Amino acid sequence: MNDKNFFVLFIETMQNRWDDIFVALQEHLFLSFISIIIAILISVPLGIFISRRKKLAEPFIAVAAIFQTVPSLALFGFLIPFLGIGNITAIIALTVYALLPILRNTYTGITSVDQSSIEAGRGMGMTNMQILMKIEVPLSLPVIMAGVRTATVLTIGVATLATFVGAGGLGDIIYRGLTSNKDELVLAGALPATILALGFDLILKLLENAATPKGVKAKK
Amino acid sequence: MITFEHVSKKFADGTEALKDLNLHIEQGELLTLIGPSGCGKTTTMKMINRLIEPSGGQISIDGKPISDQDPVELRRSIGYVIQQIGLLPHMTIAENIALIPKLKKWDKSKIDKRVDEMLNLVGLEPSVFRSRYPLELSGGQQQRVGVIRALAAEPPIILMDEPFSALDPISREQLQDELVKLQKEIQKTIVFVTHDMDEAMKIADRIAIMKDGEILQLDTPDRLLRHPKNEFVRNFIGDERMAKGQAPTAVDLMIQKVATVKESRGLAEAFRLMKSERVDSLVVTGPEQEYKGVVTLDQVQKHYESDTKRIADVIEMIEPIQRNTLYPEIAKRFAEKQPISIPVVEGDKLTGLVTRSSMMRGLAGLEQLGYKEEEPLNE
Amino acid sequence: MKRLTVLLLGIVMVLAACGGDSGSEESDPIVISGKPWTEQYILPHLLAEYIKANSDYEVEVDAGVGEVNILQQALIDGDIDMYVEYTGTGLEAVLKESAESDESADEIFERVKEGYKEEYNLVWLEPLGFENGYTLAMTQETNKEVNAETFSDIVPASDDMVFGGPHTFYEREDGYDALVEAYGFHFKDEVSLDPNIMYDALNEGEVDVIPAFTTDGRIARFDLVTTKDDKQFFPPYYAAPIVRQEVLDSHPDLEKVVNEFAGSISEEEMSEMNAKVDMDGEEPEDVAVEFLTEKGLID
Repeated sequence: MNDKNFFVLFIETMQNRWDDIFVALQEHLFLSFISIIIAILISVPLGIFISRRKKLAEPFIAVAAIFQTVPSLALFGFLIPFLGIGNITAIIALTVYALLPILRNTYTGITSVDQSSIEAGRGMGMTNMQILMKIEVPLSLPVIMAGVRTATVLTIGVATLATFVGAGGLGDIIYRGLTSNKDELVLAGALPATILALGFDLILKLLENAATPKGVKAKK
Repeated sequence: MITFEHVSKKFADGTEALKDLNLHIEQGELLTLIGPSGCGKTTTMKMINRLIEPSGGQISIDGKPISDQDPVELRRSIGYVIQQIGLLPHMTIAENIALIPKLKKWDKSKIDKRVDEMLNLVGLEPSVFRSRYPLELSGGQQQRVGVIRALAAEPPIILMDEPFSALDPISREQLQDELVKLQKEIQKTIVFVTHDMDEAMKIADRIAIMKDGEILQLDTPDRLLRHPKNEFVRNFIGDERMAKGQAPTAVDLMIQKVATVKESRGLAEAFRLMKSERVDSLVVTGPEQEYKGVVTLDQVQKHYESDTKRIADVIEMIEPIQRNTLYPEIAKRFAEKQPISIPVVEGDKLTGLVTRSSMMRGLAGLEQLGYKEEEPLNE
Repeated sequence: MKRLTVLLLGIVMVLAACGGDSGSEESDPIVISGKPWTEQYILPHLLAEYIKANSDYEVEVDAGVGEVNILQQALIDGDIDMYVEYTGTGLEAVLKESAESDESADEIFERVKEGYKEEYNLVWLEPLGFENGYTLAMTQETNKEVNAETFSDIVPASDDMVFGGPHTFYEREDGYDALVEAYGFHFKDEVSLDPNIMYDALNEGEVDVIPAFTTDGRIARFDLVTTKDDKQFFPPYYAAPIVRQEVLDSHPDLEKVVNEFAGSISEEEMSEMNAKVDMDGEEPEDVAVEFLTEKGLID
């Protein structure tokens, strides 16, 4: 297809198109970040809520799971008639995707906190809020953080589809490359997305370790 | 101090946990609630700090109905120790102990002082243990912390829900002893739930025996032993214990698997048996397992040359003890007559053998080994 | 929005097809393909139905496969046999040439036809009748402020305008960069939009101006303002089927049959068909059959 070595072509593309790629990268980060934060703000309190009312847990998690089984492209497309085109549609679709891992991990984390710690806390006269903030949240934080990590990596990946609702991001670059048959341009969009996902995976893994209480890491 | 008046409890699933319970717990006494599982002992205890609310009747502390008090405030004035210990794994030992004083907003220097005082009370060196985490401690150490955490805010009442039953026997024994000692100093009102009669006998001022949501008998350990109110109580306390009071008896101290030999056998047979069983004495029994005496390695070796001699000719009589013989009596026998071991009989039948090492094991609350695993008896 | 999914599936399929080696046998049906937007969903069906009705050849429609570069590669590889291309696109995107300012649509057609034959052994058949060019379109509301009749009229206002175009438009030789340079636009921002949502984005005010096809049904239905390419940046585009020479060889009557269909679709007719699909939600295939039947081209 190309006379030039693909690698050379790719380097040239990265150099010549850096401005475009950088703008797309910023949009990508913006979309992913906002979506994750909204997903955390929804899922963590909701996860705590359903851990208190276990009968509700199954339906809520099931709904979140169904959201996630909808093919992502279809979800983006499905939202257009209701929400139109642009960032808001993309952010809502991405948020919907990120809900499940955080919700499920929050629920699992909270419910798997050793009941004896909670019973001791209640018996000693801690209020429900104190039990939540001083016992349940610190002890389930590593699990919740693992959910956030999963959701983040997922979201950065799915955010490449935001271009289909006109919200930009690295998907712009990838899709421009695909439609014009420029493989080097596809890679110039896909590679930053991959690095971004791996980078966040690493950073959040470190945060997850930091969130693990020292006493729980101690030798048993 | 704590009064239950006509207290009943019916759970949502229809089970009736308590029926018209009346109970008065005195200031400064250690009262144990004991009974088979499902008898309502834990329910009774958890009503005191309102973890469970009664369906009927009234509970008061110092004359004030607890239903009028804020449960959170109430609980902060009642120490609580549970079987699973429930230390918070993400907090240091000092933070765990300081939990309630902190909730009660004591100032920091007072809390620090109190934490050290508490650690010293149970023999945990503050400079070592303050900054440790619960999972770095043994089970026994953890529950010591569990107990002092309950004591830290100086509550007048402490509730203990089978606090020692998950510990290993040695730690359990130690913590029971420490609790008895501690109680002499602090004189708290302690409500202690257990299913272990030995434990109750050992620590309690009074014992309430419960069954099917009712208190069958509430008495001092001594009176319970002497005057069990009915068949259930007698069985629950155990026949053995009725005769002996609290000290261990021969049954607790003996091994049951004894190397025996019939008196009609030859000396070579006895020698072979001693070698294969790695013991230096055999108990001689008749056809119906009746106790006849003891044959020792010394005697067998001494008469080994004459092959006409039988065991009956070299037998020594060591006066046996009964199954319910108390430990002080047994100890005295060992001290005075220096026997290698003392056979235990029921009527005239051999049921076991107390050796010096089986006695040690029994006193330590350890399980008895078979004779094969016993250390050699020559001391 | 179903089309979005179809589109991506198409891309995946073509990518997969590019990997393997392929070559169609004579007995295989004639595969007619197209680009992933409305007009190009209808055109393959028009051709297919017409060929089916007027010959014994087996025909298969594989619509929405991809933009020009992908279809071109698919033709060369033999994954598809025929699709409708616009002369201007063929000239600039495939042959990498540009139109002279005084060159007529017929002249361009001849040039493209020769170029394709020489370079790729692909044959342009006779144009279908309608011309499809680009216009810059705005909403009535926007135009109240901009007040433009020609592309050049837009230039002074372009500082405050957001340009929205298909992804491929930014990558083509005759696309965004060249257009901006030719007219001196300096748009505030440029947004990549799937062709299917481009008009919605314009209507919703997400973007202010889009490159629209003159035959797009939504221009009339959305009451959009179109402007004139006063510098003739976009050469006049005929739409004509391209077919592989091998297919013509193995299907001797094909060229004759398709050329009989030439000139049958006017701009108005194409625009109306597009509108039926875009606005009324009709299926491209149904619209194609309906048109052919009404015109008496098939029974």
